This record gives sequence, C-alpha cells and structure tokens, in this order.
Amino acid sequence: MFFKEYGLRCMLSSVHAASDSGEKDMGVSHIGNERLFGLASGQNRFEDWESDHLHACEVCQGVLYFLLEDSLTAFYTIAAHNDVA
Amino acid sequence: MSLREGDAILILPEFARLYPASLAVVRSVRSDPFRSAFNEYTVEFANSSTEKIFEFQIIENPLDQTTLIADILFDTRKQLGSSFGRGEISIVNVVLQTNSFDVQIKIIPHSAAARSLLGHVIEREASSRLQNVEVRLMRKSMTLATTVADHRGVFRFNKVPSGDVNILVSVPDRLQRILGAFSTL
Repeated sequence: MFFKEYGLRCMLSSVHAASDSGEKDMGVSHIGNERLFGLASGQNRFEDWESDHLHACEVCQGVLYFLLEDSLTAFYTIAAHNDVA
Repeated sequence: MSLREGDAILILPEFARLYPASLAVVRSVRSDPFRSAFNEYTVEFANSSTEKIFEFQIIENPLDQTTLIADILFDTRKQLGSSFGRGEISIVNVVLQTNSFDVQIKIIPHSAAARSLLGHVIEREASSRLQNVEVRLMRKSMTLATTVADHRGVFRFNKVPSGDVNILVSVPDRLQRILGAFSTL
C-alpha cells in the first residue's frame, strides 16, 4: 500500500506539478494531486473552484482521466506482485 | 451517455456515500468542452436537496427498470490469498450476487495488462442461465465494451484492461438491471 501510494505521488509529480492544496505553478493554480485522486476513487468531492478549474484546464483533466483509467493502479499492483515473487 | 434535464440517474456505489442518496433527477447540465466524462450535472434528490456530480460518477436510471446492486460473494483471490508467483497465470473466479441473481465471472489473464472475461448470469430460483441479456463493462461509468449472452447464457469480453471495472447486466423481461464491481487485476 505504501509503495503504491508513494509511487503514485512520484509519477504524478512529474506530470502535474501541483501541491496537495492547489499551489500556484507558473501563475496557474492547479488542483492538488490528492484531490484529483480522491475524486477519482470516491474519497472526496470537489469544491466549486475545483470544478470550475477542471472544466477549463486540460492539464488537470489529463491527470484525472489518467487516474480514472486506473493505469497507475494496475502498474503498481503488477509491480508489487513481481517484487513479492 | 448523454443526459438531459429530467433524466433519472443512479450514482455508482463507489461514489454514493458522498451524496444523500443513490437516486436523483438531472436538473441542469454543464457540458465540458474537452471530455464528456467531465460533464457536470446538478441533480435533485428525493429530499429536494441538490448536488453537483460528474458524468463518470453516474449512470442513467431508466424509470421502468429497477437496478439491483450486486455484492461480491466469492473471489478466489481473497479465498486463496495473494500468492502470485513470477510468470504464473492464474484464472480468477468472481461471483457477484443480488437477492435473486448470481453473476459468475472467470477472469483469464493473457498478459500483465490484458484479460478475457467469461461469464454467465444465473437466476437462482430457476437455476438457469439467462440468455440474450445485454452486458456492459464499464470503467467508472465509461463504457469499455458491450456484449450479449449467447444461447448458452455465456458472455465474453476480450482485451479487458486490468483494474477496477463495473458490470451492468440488463434483464429487460424482469424489468431489472444488475450492477456490480470487481477488479480484473
């Protein structure tokens, strides 16, 4: 579990340079990775500003869509299985 | 899926706990300029409260059908533990159950990323497989593939990606649908 979450953070940080609370990056305030992950996994809902931002930001949409496709979950679960073997 | 004002919706079980109820009616639509999965709906619940929700979190809910939520009754991975060996190919059996139906699914891995699914739906009272029922495989609410159970009551999906998926079986002559979730990993 730790490996999975740590790996997820590392991979996303290279794709989406935003903080968990939505810090400004080059003048643009993106939605934090944990908030995107939480929305995709049913752990949280979005604030109004996050919804508004999502509709206008291809970067955040790209990350969220990636999370929805579950590619990372699959990748890290398979990696974990291989580590165990 | 294109929903309009007045359409009834069902919130997928994994998101339902964040909302007052699972069933609601669309009151307004905010279309997303990039992806339909992010269309945003204002929905009204039976208690007259309203909330906003994204398209990937919901499915349509035809008023002439009841949607039964299926729970996982059996999963070989949980029964046997996660004893995966390097290079081992393990066929996984999953049984989803409602009060009146069982959905039995066999997950056949072909590679790390792709699987086939074979399954059938059994009505327990009749102990018979349901034929010609439509089966939809979804990631969240996004349709991955749709098929129909054959004359033996068997349905099959090929090239299924690994990860969490939802399955929706329509049983129109019973005016019911079966919605369940499982992992193909």
